[in-house]
Amino acid sequence: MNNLLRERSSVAHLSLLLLMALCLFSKAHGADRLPNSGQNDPLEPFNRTVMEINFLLDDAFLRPLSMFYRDITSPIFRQAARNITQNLETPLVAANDALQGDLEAASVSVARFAVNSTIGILGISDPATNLRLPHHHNDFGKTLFVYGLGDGPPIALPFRNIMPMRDAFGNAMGSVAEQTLAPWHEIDYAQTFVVSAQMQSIAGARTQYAPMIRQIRLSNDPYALSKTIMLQRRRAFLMGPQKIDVEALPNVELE
Amino acid sequence: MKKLMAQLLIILMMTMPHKVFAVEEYEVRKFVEKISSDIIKVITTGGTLQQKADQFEILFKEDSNPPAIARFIAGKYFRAASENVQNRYITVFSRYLTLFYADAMKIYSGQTLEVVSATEVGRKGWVVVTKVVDAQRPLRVNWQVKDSSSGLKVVDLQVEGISMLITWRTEFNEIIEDAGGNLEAAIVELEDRIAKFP
Repeated sequence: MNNLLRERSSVAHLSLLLLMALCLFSKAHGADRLPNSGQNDPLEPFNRTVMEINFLLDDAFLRPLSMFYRDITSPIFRQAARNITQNLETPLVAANDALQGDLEAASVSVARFAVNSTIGILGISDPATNLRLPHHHNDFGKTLFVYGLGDGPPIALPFRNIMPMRDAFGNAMGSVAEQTLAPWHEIDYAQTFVVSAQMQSIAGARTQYAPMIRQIRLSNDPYALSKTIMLQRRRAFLMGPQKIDVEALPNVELE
Repeated sequence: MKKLMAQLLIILMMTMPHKVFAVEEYEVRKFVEKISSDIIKVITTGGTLQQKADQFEILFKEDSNPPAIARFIAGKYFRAASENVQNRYITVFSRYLTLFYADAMKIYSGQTLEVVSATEVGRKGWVVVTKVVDAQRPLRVNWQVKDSSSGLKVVDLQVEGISMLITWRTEFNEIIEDAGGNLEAAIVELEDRIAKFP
């Protein structure tokens, strides 16, 4: 198991270096601003290939597995798997809250983790939400955004989706942090439990987003459509619910 | 005297800042509340999808501007097309718009809509932030509204940050581009989609 972990950790480190190189490349080519319209895509040929592979993987594995998973599990069971994964992500959410200077959100995350890991029995249930400690997402991509790093060109990652280069870099930072710091990697059974919950969470998310994925796959250009949807979603998350991204709004002439 | 008063009034109106005549925040909020309640009325009354789309057509004519939305989506390809093709495209797109929303709203199951805020965003109009509340996680829907000579109009919906207009524009631009920039390709695609609705 330790060898496996070392290998995964090396892959994460390698991805990080590769993304850093790509970030520098994109900066050098002046592609640090990404409009929502989906223009400015210097890695398009690479991205299209990766997305083709992702669609093939989806057809071959993820879609059938998620349908099978949906058929054999109850909504309560699926919710429990989501809760476990969300709870395991909470320490990194708290770290990013703190790095972004949002100490109130960080304290909520810490309290959530404490409540759900104990009263919530290893995060299986989510009593913290009822105690006014709601879940929120945060990641290293957003931290880099808060620190002023530009989007970079969009990049498609295998087994993932399309995202700005900065967020791919943030994702790799998250993987490295998780591989390096998470205590469950030292315990075989805990590792199995975590990986199983993560796999179930992915299958559950695939089920949840099935209508949107279907619409994308049936479109004339699934790559272009998934790119615009994913970049818009990501932009909205980065801006937060309180801010309106005026620049990205469509300008419709009525008269 | 009356003539003098009228002249003074005209001069006053011309010199007053535009803001005085601009729409107020409460009006924009009220407008979104009204249109969302009208939409709920349509989807909760019985009838086939086609009948609901017919009712949406009336509603959209009054509170939105489907031709302007159609023009925005096709952009430069719209301007390059002949008048006849432009008119056919607008007609087909307007029908698709009503069917799309009638179909999308069929999942409605008693959720309520709360207006959170209304913000003026310059020449792009107003953004009204709303929360669609149900038993699970609330859904954030932003309504982009613009004022016009015939009153307020909804121009776009942004669901969890995803703009319907920008998404459609991306999709249809690819279709039109693949056909060498011919707007007819969008008409064919829209007719195909319309035929697939029950």
